[in-house]
Amino acid sequence: MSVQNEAVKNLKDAFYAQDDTKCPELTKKALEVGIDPLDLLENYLLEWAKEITGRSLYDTEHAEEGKPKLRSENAVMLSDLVMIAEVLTACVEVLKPELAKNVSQSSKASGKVIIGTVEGDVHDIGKSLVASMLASAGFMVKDVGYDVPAKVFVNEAKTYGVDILALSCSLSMAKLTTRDVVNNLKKVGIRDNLKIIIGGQAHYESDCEVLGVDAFGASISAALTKSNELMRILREKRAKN
Amino acid sequence: MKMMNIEFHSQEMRGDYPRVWNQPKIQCHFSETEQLMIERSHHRMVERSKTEKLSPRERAWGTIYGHDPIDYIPMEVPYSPNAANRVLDSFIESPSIITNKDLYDYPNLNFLSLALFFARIPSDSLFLLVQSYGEEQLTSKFRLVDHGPPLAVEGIAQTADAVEAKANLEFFMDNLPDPANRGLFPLNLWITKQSIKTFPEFLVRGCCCAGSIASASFLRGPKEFLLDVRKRPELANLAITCGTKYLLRKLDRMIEAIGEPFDIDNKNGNALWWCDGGGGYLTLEEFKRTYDLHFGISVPYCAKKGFPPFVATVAGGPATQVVAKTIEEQIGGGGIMVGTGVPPIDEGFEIMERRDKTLDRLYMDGAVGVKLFLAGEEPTRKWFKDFASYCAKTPEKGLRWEIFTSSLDPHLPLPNLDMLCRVHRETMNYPVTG
Repeated sequence: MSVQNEAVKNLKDAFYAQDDTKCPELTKKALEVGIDPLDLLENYLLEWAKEITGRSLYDTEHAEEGKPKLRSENAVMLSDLVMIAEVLTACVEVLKPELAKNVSQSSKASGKVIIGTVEGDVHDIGKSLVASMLASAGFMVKDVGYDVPAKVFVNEAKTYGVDILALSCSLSMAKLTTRDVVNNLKKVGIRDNLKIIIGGQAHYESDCEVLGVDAFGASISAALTKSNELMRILREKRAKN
Repeated sequence: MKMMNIEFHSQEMRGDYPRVWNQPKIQCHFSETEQLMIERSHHRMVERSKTEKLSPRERAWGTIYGHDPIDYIPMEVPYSPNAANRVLDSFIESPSIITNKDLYDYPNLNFLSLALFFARIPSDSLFLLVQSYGEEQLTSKFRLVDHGPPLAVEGIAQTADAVEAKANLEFFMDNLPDPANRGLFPLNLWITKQSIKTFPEFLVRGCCCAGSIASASFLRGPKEFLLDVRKRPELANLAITCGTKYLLRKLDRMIEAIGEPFDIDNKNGNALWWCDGGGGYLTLEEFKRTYDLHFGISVPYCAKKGFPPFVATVAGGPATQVVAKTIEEQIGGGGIMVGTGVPPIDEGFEIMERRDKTLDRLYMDGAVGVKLFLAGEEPTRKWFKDFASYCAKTPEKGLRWEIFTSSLDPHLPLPNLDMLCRVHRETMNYPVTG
């Protein structure tokens, strides 16, 4: 095994063990043996995080017809997600100075995102994880926090020149704010300038049509994949214009 | 010792708190108009049940204890302030006229909407979901919103400093507040008592949500609690102990409100629901660790009270793999409901199992989620058939089942709920065959 492969393997083991002490040290070692920081971020750390956060909750492989599906042994719980965010953030902190040295390498700077939990809801963890993931993937992310009124989203979208508005909601009653955000964007005439993605336990795929938004991220990794897709659509649209 | 950041007394809670906060005992007198509306609602509920073989109370009792003959698997649609908003806004999709704050401020209005709700929705027993899960009781900073329960902004012991967190939790435990005077819990107690008094034909299920894990999350803050569980288990255990002790005081108060229900032979009794979620937050090992601690405190306490058959602990997620064994080891009696994730249709519902060792039987609860509400008739009919089929294939002694729906989502089309109730009555007759 090459020195580089060994460094990646050690980092991967620590990452999957959610060891937030070892991971920054091993990230540093990986850089020392010559692994490109962008490569390390995009092809290893983010891929591992996507794999873990995208796991199915239920064991569908061994499910029997007419019997309850049981929770998969590899299912990822909220406590895992919080730790993955801690670990990923710690690794990215090590990588940041190296990435900054060669900005041109970060050619995938993907777009501007405003992300927040809508007014009436204070669930913060999932939203923050998506924000970390998007930022790690090259998006310029502004996290406006939780319990955010519709007018704040609209003002931020106007002043920040945003590409994607990411709205999280985990309390069903607070979905009324999601509706208000969309309506207010229409009122001020900027709805068509941007894309809206929704997530959180109270949002569903069917809400895209009901609420008039562009995408639903069922998981953290799905939020990243769909945000990339939305950016692609937005770029094509802008190129045509 | 560091200064505590606790704000302890309800009256000191910041924000535009409702007037019920200052009234340890709510005493409301209904106007003639209000009385008329409540009486008419009651009449409608009773008239509807006259067309059926069993009275609602006989059916609920037969389901819980399995003593009586039964006609169909009952379904409970819970009442909560969120549902009340829609009732008072003529069941429009997005409530905008009456707010949760109004319902907290005006208990009469709250109770009136409860009566109208059960007159409109054919729920087999009266499940009174809590007014809040304790967000305003276990935080030093919370916010009331127009539509939805209070928001827990900052827990009493929410700090990154472990020493300070420990001191705050210990202070809380040493000065445990009385839930009967705290936040919205007095409103819960009053609504429960009023319902028992007003609707004697129906079994009333009082509610003591949330449980220890959620309470610990409010005290510490959700992210801090999860990090504690992983990195500082002693602190997590202390938070759970605090949450459990507070929960037990809530249970005490709710038992007083329900009054004399805990006699198996007393068919006039009512029921208590103690909802203790949290399975979705933690890994199996973490879940077992926290539940062992929580059960170690709460189960002996409940056993002394003599109400195990009525207390339900609901735990989503990994419950079946872990908690069933814990219950066998620690409880040695009945009354615990264990949930397991069973999502044959797009994760739209779950089946809960209630193992009751004392009565040597199993009780199952099919929980209808919002997704099924939104799915339309075909998937709904399929779900009920799947559920019936599952019930039929589980040949255990004295088995009983029940359907329990989620609360009303603001975007849930009311015709879907009507359809759900209709399909339920068409498909859930005993004997279940699938």
